[in-house]
Amino acid sequence: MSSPNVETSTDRVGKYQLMTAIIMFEIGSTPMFLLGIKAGQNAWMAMAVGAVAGLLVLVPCLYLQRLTGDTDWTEMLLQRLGKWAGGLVALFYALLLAYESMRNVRDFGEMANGTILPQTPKWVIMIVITTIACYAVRKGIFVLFRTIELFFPTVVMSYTTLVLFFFISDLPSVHRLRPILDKGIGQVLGEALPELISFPFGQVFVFLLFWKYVKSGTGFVRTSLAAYGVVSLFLTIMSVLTLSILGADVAQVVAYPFLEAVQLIHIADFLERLDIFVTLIIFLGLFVKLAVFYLASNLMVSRMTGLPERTCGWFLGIVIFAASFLEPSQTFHIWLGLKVQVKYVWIFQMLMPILILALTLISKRRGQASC
Amino acid sequence: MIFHRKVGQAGARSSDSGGPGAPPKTPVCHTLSDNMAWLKSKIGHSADFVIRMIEPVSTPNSQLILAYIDGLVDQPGLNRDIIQALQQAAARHSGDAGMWLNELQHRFVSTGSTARSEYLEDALQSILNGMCLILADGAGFALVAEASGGEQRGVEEPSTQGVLRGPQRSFTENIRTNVALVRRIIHDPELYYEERLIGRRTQTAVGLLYMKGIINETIVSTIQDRLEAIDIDSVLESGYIEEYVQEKTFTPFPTLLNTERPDAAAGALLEGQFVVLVDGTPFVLMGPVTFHKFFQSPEDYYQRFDIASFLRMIRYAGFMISMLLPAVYIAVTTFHQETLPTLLLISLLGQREGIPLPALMEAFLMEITFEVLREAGARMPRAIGPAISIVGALVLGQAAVQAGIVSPAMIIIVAFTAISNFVMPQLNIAIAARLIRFALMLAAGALGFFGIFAGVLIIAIHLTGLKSFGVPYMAPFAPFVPGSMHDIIIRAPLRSMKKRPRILGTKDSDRRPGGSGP
Repeated sequence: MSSPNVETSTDRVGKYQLMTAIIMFEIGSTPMFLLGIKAGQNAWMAMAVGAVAGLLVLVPCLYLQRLTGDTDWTEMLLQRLGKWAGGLVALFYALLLAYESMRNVRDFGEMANGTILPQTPKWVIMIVITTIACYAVRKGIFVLFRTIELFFPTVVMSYTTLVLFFFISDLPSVHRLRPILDKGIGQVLGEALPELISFPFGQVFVFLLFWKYVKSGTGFVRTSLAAYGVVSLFLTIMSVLTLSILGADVAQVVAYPFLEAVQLIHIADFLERLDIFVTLIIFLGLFVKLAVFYLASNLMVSRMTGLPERTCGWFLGIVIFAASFLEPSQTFHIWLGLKVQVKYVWIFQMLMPILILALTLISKRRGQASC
Repeated sequence: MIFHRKVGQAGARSSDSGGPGAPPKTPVCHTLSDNMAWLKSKIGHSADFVIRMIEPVSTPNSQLILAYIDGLVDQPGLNRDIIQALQQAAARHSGDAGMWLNELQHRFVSTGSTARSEYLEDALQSILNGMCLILADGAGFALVAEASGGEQRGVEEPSTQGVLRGPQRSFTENIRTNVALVRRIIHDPELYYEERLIGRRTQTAVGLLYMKGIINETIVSTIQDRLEAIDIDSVLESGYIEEYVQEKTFTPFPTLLNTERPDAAAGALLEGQFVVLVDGTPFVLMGPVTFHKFFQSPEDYYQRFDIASFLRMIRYAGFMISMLLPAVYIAVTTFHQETLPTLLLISLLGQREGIPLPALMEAFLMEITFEVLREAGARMPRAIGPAISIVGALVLGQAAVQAGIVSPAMIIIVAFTAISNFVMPQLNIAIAARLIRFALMLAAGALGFFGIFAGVLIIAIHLTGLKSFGVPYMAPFAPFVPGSMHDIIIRAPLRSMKKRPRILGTKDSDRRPGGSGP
């Protein structure tokens, strides 16, 4: 049934929804890991560089979306590359997105085992979270985006409180960030590129599947850029804080540096061991990322097969859950995720949209010329 | 003789049953005794069917008859307005029954509404709706006159939705009284009222009230369509209507508000909601609703805004506590003891020393006990209620602790959870919280905080997917509606609430035309 009001229209994504979705999606589980830690105390700069470099993904994607208007990534591929080549590429992308989602499912299992549920079998945690994601995905993009929006204030307040607690406990110290750029800017760039584009900043390309649903006249370009700016700043600040609390040497050896930092909070003999609650907040981010990838993949599969989204959701859920057991161990999972794939995934995040953008521009030129 | 071929106009509240496929109706025939025999056999010679025969002095053979159901009519009014009129008019009977009935209708009977009835089925339905029927020998139609009345409960204090400050009158079982109670608050011609009869057998009057100039048209047509689509044999309470008009989603959360307070109903109308009244119950329905509505009490607007805001936040907290507290207790004591400060942990575990049950079982036992007590309290005769509550709550709790079956901390948790559940101004959302509590306890018992996390996530996804008459249930949180947060978690000063809530898409959005003011 149609909604009585534009304000709360339920068949479009609003400005705030898009903003919160991009922010929550990009946060994901990123604060948990100190990315680019090989740059030592300069890791936060690697984060900032990664964020700036991520614009190389975001800006072409936004430009592409603005040119093509009411089409999503699947349709763009099919239009520009033809039915067969486009279909093949689209299938590859659907698998890539499902793979990203699967990684997050596995992350859930590993992280829960490593933090709050050491004795529960991994598969239980993974089946629970996949089922919930499936539930959300089958309800469709609008419900998922509204759910993300609903949790946004909680996440903002939690992180704000946490930062406040860091300072109340007098934990951060600037000297742990020194010396700045001791090995030159080259080292930082080397650590940041291309890994930090692939994860997390370049992942924003997935919104090529969602921008189509944004309410017209919302200014999705500006909104997306603003959200991206906010989240880049946030991730960099978290990186700075973790480094200035733990120092690069400690941060390098522990599994979850951020949780170590949180465990140092002691206030009034009562507020300690906040790491469990922080884990839950991280889980929320992880879930958002999982579900958004799952949904994106689902949209592509459903578009290509012609099956309804709700039916596809079941199949894809089973596939994602089953695939999450392919990796033999956590070591392999982390190695594959943070060492291997990050060297290549950026190609698909950045180059393919740019290629499609070029093709679109050419065909537009031609269209104009022939007129 | 003049025959007015008006079909089915047997009084304001008769059913419109002249549709295709309806069985053919029996016309009122000219012989009085035949008509009476038909009516009597249809109503099964019921004892409360009263027939009064009057013989005109001038023409003793052409009798006339007054029929009604005892108890449904207002007896003094009937005596004064109708029987007296009949006796006066009887003196002027000239022999033509049709003319005479006409004259009676227009000159003598002094009740609010009268109508002609051509068919016996319509006439019978009017009698069952509390009107009285006048039949004259030789006339091919009957006359029905409004006489409904009889014993009714008066307007009393609200019994389930009390306030400390504010009007102390409540809706009653009479639908017209209820509409009037609202009209006494909103003196505006734009307050529209529609009524239809729902229920094949009960023929219950169901009314729809809305402010024409405020409410969104889409919402009005939606509720009209949904009311029209209801086809059941009985409507005994507004709960029947509620189930039929709400969105078809399997959910423990109510998607319509109910109230017995006219001031709450008026407030809802002025915010662009509609009100559905059902004859025979003081509980009216209001919609569309969003989640936050269940945390608003009419009293919020009668008190200072700072106090009201504080109380409202207490309600949200109470809702969360009543859903989550036992689950969190279970999770902490069985999975995450390290979250507690050491001293508190030692004290808690010391109490649990010697308790034979795991925390989940212990919590379940006590929660179920409490639910039983609560249900018993609601059903018990009023005279013994308090005594049993004391036995149940105090003796049972005390004895359970002393017997070492449950720990004192668990009693505290259960009691606090139960009390928190009562801060909600709306009972039906409190019940949703009670149900969900058990699911969350199971989840916490199985997976600790992760289980609670998963449970809350499912609830959130479910809630954001709900709609009430097309309005997303979690608005204005999700979707976030800028500029409408001033009456959600806090209650802003009335002066600053210049606009109506935007989520309902009202036509006239200004509460204070002109804006600023003193």
